[in-house]
Amino acid sequence: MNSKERVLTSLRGGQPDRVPIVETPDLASLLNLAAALGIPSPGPEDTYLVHRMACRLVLELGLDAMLMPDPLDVMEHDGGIIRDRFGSEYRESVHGEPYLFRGPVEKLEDTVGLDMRPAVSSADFAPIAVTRDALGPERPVIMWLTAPFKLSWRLRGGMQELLTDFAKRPELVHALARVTTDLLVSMVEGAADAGVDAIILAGDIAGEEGPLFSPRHFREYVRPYYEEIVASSHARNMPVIYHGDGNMWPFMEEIIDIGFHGFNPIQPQCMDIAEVKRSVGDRLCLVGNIDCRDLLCTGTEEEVERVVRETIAIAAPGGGYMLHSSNSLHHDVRPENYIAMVRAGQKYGIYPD
Amino acid sequence: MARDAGVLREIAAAVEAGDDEALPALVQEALGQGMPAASVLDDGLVAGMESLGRQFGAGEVFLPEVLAAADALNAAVSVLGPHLVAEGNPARGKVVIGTVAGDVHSIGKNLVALLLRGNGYEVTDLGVDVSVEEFVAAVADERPQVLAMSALLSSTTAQFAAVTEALEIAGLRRQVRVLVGGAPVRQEFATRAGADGFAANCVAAVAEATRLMAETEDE
Repeated sequence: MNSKERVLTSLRGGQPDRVPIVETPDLASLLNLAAALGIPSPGPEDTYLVHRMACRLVLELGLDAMLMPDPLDVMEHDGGIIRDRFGSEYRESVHGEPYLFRGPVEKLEDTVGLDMRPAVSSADFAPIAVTRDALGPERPVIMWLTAPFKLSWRLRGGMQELLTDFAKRPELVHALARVTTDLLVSMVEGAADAGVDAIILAGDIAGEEGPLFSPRHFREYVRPYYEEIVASSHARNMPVIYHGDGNMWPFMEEIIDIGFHGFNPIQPQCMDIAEVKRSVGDRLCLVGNIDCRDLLCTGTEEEVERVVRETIAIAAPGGGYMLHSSNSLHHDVRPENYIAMVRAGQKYGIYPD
Repeated sequence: MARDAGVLREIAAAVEAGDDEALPALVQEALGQGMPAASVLDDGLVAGMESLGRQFGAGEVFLPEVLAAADALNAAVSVLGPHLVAEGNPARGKVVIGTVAGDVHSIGKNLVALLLRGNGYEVTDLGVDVSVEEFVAAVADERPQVLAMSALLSSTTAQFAAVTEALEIAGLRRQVRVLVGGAPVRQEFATRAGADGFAANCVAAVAEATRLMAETEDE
């Protein structure tokens, strides 16, 4: 099996030849990994720096895929303020991470006539061709997209604002979900046309202690819109992985009913992988669970190998598991530990004939 | 007009329902009946919030309901505030709050700030990504009884110890109680960081801040 067959077989619930190894890196972690492996960086002036570095590391480490970042997450720096293309404004943290402080929608009237789709152009899908050229047809292209819930709270200037709207301004919540879902459906179509093989939808809706909002609000404000996006992706034969941090137990059956193929990242602090495998492992491909909060940052390479071996033993039997960190590779992840994670995945992830 | 404890129950229920339209009028009604402002605060507003807090802790309600209630509570406290002062109630204390450097998570911290204000405390919110120096300067300038710090990333919880050490060096540590919280934070971590208190969620943070305030009053 090649990487593409391996990943798509897993996402569709089958058992491939070995556990696929996929990952979501940020730029800092890519540069750290490249430095550890002695790979020169193309330099910050390269428009496709992140994509080229990711492809280089896929080949160097023998990964099946690095998941491509959401093309709409590109921000413009304007002095001390960072802006996205939809009018939300961010400041920069000491780690260079943008954090939202203002959005363009304050009230229902601000959504009248609002259409996010004209802000997207074919240039946004150009990195897909760059990735294809670098990796060839045997590796899958999997792309992150940001779910309506998060896009909505960005438009509102903060998650707190949108969650308050859930309780007090249902029309505004639906109006935002409509506008953002229209964008998402067009992004799914654009991604399919550009050759993307699978989508991962970033939809954090839970903390470690449990959901941010009730299952009733999920069914009212979230589920119908996810169904539209997933239906659009199914129509183009692209599986969709749902990404939701935290304790997602109250929503798991809904995630399956909506038609998602995979579930990520299965945070080990609040979701026991054995219980997840037992409960939904025959209906969802599980993607993740290797702790990037502590283990990959401060653990030893031996500890990483042991955890990967144990996780594969629990999650991989029968197929439907892909090795991935419990969120993403970030600046605090030790490159040696990630390399140990990949090597352990390659060592312990082979299915018997 | 006769005093009617029923209005206090209505106030508590309006807080729980997040009804910011009805609440100011109910507060006015209670004051019009001659109820002491402190009683309206404690037996009406705070009682309602505590009830909602218990439901939140039990997973029966979620952030939207708590945020709506906190909004309503703050609307009511702005009506009640002048009456509390006019009736000679001493200020309940001051809290400086912020999310530590390198961490941009705001919602838990904001909710704690809202609830503290709703409980009658004066709150200075320094925002997110707050440096050690900014925390120390705020403690020096504002002289709060409690400094509350939030972190959602395990990598940034190291900032708690950096702040407590800097407060020590600046000679300010003994004049303020330090409260820490956030998803990765546990009691033993708080103790190691030299903090005085720890809270696992926003409702617990208010109770812990109140406990720490009481400690400072005992001194």
